[in-house]
Amino acid sequence: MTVVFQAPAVTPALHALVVGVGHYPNLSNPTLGSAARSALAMATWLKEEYSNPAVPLGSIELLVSSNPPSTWEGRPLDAATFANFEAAVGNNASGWFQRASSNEDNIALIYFCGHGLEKGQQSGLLFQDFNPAPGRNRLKDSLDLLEFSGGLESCLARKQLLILDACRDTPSWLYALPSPLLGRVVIPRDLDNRPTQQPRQLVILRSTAAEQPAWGDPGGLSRFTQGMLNALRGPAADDRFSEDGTWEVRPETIPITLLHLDKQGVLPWSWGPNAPRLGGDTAGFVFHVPRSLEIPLRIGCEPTAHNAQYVFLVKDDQRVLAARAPPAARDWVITLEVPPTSVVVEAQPAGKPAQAVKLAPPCRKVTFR
Amino acid sequence: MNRMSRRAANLQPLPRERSRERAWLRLELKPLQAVLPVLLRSESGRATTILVRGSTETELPPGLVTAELRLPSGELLVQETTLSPGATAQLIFDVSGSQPEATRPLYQDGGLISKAPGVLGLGSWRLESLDLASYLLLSYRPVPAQASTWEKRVTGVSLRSKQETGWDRKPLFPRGGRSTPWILVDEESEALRFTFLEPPDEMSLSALQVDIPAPSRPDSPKPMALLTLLPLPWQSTSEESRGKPRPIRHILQPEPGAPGGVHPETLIPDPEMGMVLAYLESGDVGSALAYQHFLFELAEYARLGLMWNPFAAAAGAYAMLCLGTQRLAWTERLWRLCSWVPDSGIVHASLLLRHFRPGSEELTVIRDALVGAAWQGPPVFSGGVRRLVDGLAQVASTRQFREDPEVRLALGYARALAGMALPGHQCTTLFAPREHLDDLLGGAAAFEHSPLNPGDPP
Repeated sequence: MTVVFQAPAVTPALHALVVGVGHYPNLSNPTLGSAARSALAMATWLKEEYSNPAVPLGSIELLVSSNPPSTWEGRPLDAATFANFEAAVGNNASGWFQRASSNEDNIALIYFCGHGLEKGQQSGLLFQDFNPAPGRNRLKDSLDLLEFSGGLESCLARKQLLILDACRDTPSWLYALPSPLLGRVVIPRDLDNRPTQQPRQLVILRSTAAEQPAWGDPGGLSRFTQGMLNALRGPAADDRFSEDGTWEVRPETIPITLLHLDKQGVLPWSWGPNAPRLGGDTAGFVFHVPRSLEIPLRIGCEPTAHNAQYVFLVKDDQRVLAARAPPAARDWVITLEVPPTSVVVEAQPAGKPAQAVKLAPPCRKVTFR
Repeated sequence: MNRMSRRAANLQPLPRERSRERAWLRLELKPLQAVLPVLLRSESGRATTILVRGSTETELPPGLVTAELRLPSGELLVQETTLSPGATAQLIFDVSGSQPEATRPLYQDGGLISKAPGVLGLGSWRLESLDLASYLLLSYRPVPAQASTWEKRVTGVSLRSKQETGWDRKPLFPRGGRSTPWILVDEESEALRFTFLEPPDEMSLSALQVDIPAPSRPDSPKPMALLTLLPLPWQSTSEESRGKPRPIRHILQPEPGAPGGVHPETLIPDPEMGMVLAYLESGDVGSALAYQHFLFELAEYARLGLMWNPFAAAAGAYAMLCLGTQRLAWTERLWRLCSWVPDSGIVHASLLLRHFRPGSEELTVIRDALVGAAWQGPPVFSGGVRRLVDGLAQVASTRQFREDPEVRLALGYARALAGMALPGHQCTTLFAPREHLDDLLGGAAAFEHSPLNPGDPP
């Protein structure tokens, strides 16, 4: 087991199990480098940026498969095999399950990045030892998501977040298998020993829509994880439900925020049919309280061809915060830290009136007509 | 589905003189029948969400105000204006091109409507063996025969309804020969559209079956079918038209990559309920919460036994479960009065499971509600499939019901359903070999003797 961070007895706390499967030796295309990098990026974000005064970081356990093997602060990491995952979840005192079960107000977080498959409403997550060779029980080393999320009802932590960055398409061989698709069960259901009467809040973030693959950039992170980490820095924050107007991120806001960012044209890619989705019981909880907000701002002219004639300036009072010079043909997307809560955008040479814009999540757009 | 169009802010100070310390903002939606939440941020105050029903005026402190409209499509419309003391400003959000089809006025897109049996459209479509008295069907101008993509994707469309003896099947459009193409077009896209008002037999489950030619997948030589459960009859839940019948729309859109190459979508035309479901589907829980009052009202009617639309009551209960609302004491009444709707038992059991205390006598109620639901057939709403599997698996994990053969059979059936029910649809949509449809539609009883039944579900 590779517990890479453990806070001294903090309760309630967030306990994370982060899994990245970037190496599948039994597949014809064994490398999925973005999955390993994404898991490491997620763990780094948790350690360095996660902030929640009510539920601070408790522990991070990390399983990463890659070729060559990955390390964390010089320590080798356990590979993301099914056996290692089972041991890491573990129903013993040192396992993630027990750590997460130490307090009803804990947040139990599972992050998985790797290959996945889906048939109907049944999903499987694939670990390093997955072997699709004909004649084998190909689902032996896959995690049955429906059963796993059902088994988590036995975890005392009532706030549960599963972030699943994996494909959801149906391989043709799966159609030939008799229904239903059943992978392995790690946490058996046990309603007789339900630990509390409090209803749990289970939120499942899916990196892509049903029947769709999830994408990763060569040499970079998966698109969903990249987008999610950016969204956690500000765009996904919401002040509608906090008692004192605090900007806080509820996990359920992440997929729709990523869609908003796409529609406003501030992402470097478009989701198309691969837009992230929300699952589980939907109603969420406060996951993260960003220390500062980073808000994307898109500035441009209509028609777009006029962009090339102007230098854009972003000012706070009279101070220039950012400028795009020389002009370019495309709209300009910058990320501004709040405060200031509002800025003035100018297009020079003058001729178009300056525009004041209040900076607020998820993003803002200024168009000079 | 949604072709986006946006229009800019429209600030029109109105010449009204009022108190100098206050200001007013009038928010207007186009079209006026839309009911959408608008998020307001004033300079000094906190963010507030108001539900705008066509047009709404609200009081705010003078100064800069930002109005945000978040649509389920992910589109974000933001307008800013400065409110002057004592005056009223107006912001208009034009969402006519952006709103979900469910909230658009029916037939605005120029389709032809026929309420009588006979020929629809321009004569290529013949309706046979079907009494149209209780249906409205919307059709589009067929294109002259040419290489048709639909011909490859769809071999038949039929309407199914639950009878005492099993599921009846009536073909909607038997092919009229080679000269009858399956292509239908409108100005938006190529699609087959259906509008349904009532099921063939009142108060029974109904579904639309779309036959897909074999092979739809390389390893799947059997002819497949897409089958979507329909919440019929649907009676309006909107305040101004409560109880009036509202047609349900069903659209079949060609979509490469979708199972069978066809994307079916069912649209619920109520402005509030349609939007609650659309927001929840998109994951915008914050906006869906703006409709809570509407859901509470629906719940109150249901609690009083006013179950004019059991599908809406079940959909509302699912939504309230998603939103974490506790006010669901009325689901038992829904289940007892409308047990023929599988969702009624599922949603009631799901609520009881949320607060379940081990050893409680409620376990038997949960078991009965879920097993009863599995006997009725597939739930009408897609979210019910996961809750049915989840609930039955929880029940099967107890000492009391571990060996219960009915629970084991129901769980096997629910898992088979889950393996064939496509995610991402509001209404349960099965993609299954045609030969297995009757076993799935017939509920756990039909499943018992089906080849789909592995015999001893784990």
